[in-house]
Amino acid sequence: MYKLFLTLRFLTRKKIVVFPILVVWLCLMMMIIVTSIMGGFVTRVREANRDLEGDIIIYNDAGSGWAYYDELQDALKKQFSDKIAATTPVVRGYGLMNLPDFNQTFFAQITGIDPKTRSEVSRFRQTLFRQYISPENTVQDLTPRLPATTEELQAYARQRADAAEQQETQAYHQFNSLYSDLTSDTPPTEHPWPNFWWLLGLPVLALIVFLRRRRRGRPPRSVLHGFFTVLILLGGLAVLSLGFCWPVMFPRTFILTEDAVERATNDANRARITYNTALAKLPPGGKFTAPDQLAAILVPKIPSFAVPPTAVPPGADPDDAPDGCIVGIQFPLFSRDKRGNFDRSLDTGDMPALLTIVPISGRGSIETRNVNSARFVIVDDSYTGVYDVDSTYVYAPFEKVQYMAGMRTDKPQTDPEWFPPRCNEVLVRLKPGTPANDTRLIRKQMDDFVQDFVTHHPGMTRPGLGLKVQTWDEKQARYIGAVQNEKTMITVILGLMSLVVLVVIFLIFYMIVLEKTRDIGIIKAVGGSTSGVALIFLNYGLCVGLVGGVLGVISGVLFVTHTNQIHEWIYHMTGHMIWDRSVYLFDRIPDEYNPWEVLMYFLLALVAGVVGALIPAWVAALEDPVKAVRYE
Amino acid sequence: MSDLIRLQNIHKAYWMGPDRVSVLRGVDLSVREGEFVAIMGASGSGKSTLLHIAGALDTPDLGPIGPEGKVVPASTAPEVFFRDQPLSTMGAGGRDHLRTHDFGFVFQFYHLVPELNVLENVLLPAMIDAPAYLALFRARPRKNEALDLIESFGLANRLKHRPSQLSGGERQRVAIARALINNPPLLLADEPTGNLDAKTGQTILDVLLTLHKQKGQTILLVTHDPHVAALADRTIHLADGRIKQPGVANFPGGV
Repeated sequence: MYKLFLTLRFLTRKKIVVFPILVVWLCLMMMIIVTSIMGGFVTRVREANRDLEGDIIIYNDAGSGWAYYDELQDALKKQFSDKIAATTPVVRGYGLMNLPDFNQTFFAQITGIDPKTRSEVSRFRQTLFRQYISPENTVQDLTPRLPATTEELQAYARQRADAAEQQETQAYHQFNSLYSDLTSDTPPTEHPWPNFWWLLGLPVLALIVFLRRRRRGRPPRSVLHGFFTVLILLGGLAVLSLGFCWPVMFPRTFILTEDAVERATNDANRARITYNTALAKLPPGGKFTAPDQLAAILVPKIPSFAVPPTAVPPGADPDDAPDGCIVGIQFPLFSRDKRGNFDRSLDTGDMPALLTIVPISGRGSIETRNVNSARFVIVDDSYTGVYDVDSTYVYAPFEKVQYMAGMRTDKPQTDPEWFPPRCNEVLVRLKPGTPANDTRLIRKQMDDFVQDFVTHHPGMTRPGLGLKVQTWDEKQARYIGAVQNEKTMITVILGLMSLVVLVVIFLIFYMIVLEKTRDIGIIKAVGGSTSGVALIFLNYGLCVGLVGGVLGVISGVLFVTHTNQIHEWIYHMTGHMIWDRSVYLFDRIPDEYNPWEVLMYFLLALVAGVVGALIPAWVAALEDPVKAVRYE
Repeated sequence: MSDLIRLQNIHKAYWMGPDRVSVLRGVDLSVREGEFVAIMGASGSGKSTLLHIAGALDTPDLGPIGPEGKVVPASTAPEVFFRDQPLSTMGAGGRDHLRTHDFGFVFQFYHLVPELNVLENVLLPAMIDAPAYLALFRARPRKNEALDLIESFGLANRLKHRPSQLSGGERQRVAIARALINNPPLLLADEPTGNLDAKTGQTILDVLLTLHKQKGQTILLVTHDPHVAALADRTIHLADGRIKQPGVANFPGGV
């Protein structure tokens, strides 16, 4: 009983204990924030990579590709008919993209795809700006994952329209009230931005009350103490009054509101158009019956490389017409603002481009004699969220790229120089809802099948090279693994830095023990045992960990879940965008946290409190009561 | 009357730098139940050490210091008997229990816990053995006992005050109340008036005398003040680590 009692009394009546609590609090908060944001990163990267290239990829690393891909796809579909949803071949050509209008040239991975099957295998269709995301608008909202099924789309359109309308009403309301505030002489009474931060003054005041209480009947403190108290008091009052007056003094919130109105309006308009389009074409009875009815109305089902008529000069030979191509959004020709919006002032719908492919010979060298260039028209752009893909990929029609890369010949089959057409990869999409474990199992079965297929088709690949079969996360492992490693490394570094917490707890507890020598003697004199005295200080450490831990978890989780609001607030107070979307890949800072991770850090805080108190507790327990009580 | 506590051939030496200094050199002492014994001696004569050994705060050496500066085990083993039980066989837990229930300590410098108020300081020994989960049910009677005790010492209006807000005399009265909360058979006082002026010291002595006379409290008191010693039933003089003259019998039946 005395252990618990003395622990609580030491906790509430010793001011110095504020510092270890503060250190635990801040450190835990930092750990939670950093690991949550890094963890969010890993999740986003994984999400962006999933569905990028199907579930299973069959490929090899010979630049010259491999043959009989159509036969392989048919055989696979037959063999795994109950597992495969779709397959698509890919041909890759390394080369350049030249924009004659600007005389700019970029390195490009020219990727030959079949838009129809590619869209069945991956979410290629959903990454296209003109053909999927925003046909009517130039302000875009690039949600990396858009709904794909009809039901999802239907729900999505309704939900978007509702939410946007609500947001729009709210924004208009705020705008109007602020507008009238600004045009009238009276200062604004309502602020769209929640001025919660004056609450920061409350802990300061609480600290003062804590420091000033129970002063009756005791000698006054030093002048310095008074000076600091006044300083803290003034600081608290300043924070409080600033919080109240800031919006009046600096009505910059107006800029935010204007911006919010613009965004909300655009969003609402877009959603309304989508929704109205859907409504207008709603069949009698108000329900879509055929599965793809709604999707067909809203967006073209099959993306295409079709060139708009405006891009073809009048009177041009139709046979000589250029093909369309689709470029990744991260090519330097698209600039990006701090909010992450891409500048689409360039009209990509009919911009000419010259693509050059360097064919690679069977021996792996460059076939300089056959370097091919062709005129294209950029008809769309693609945003997958994976930087490496978006910054180098140019998609073009499959067969065209095959010809340019020297992987297909138009010579007749009887010609001795004829060879079967080749591709670089075959992407496989499994039936929806296949669990990750099954994917790995199917990959193994498929691997056996493919190896068998290769041995039965001589000349399919370069001798000794064969084909690899990998799941998407195996193929992207290095990329995802890098981000994962970064998270682990930062966590470890932070963990090492957190050892400082142990040292701080140790130091302060050691100070307390040294100061409490006499009291420890008294406790022993009235019968307190050695282990009891040690337990008082261990409990004390545990309580410090507990209080600091609870505060750290609450503030850390609040910070993480409000990261974007806080970030926005800092931007509008300082004009500085910390999360510069022109640099970073994702539009929002990750704001989810892993409860198990948070729990683990909380337990670690408790452990830190106890471990930090271990040596001081030991020292206290071994204190000789005779020495302790002998002198004043 | 039987011996409440009996000290037999007590030796104790301390390290003073490189040398070992004998403080007690074979002290025999016994205190009967209901007796008020004063130990007198000059500073450094070992009277506080003797009290600490009697109160199980400290342990005696095995014997005197020999010519080589080492402890030579004595033929009669140094031992402290409490109600004829040797303390050396009790172990740490038993000695802790003795200090909680059978001995009450009063020190020259009061030694109250500064973070606790008067009531909490007095209750501290009562909390030693009480498990935390029983505190809810048993706290009230103990608290009432403490309140009665504090009131009897005239500190009823000082309950919530911290030691730093009390005068010396008040602090010492709180310390006595703390020593008595578990109704120990033996009260050990180490210069209880040493830090007080004569008048306040007298009030403390009055408290102790009243306890002794009215409740028959056994008291072992250390002092260097002959006036204080004169109040005791028996006075023992310590000099050079030995009892200089046998106890002067102040009352019939003394040794």
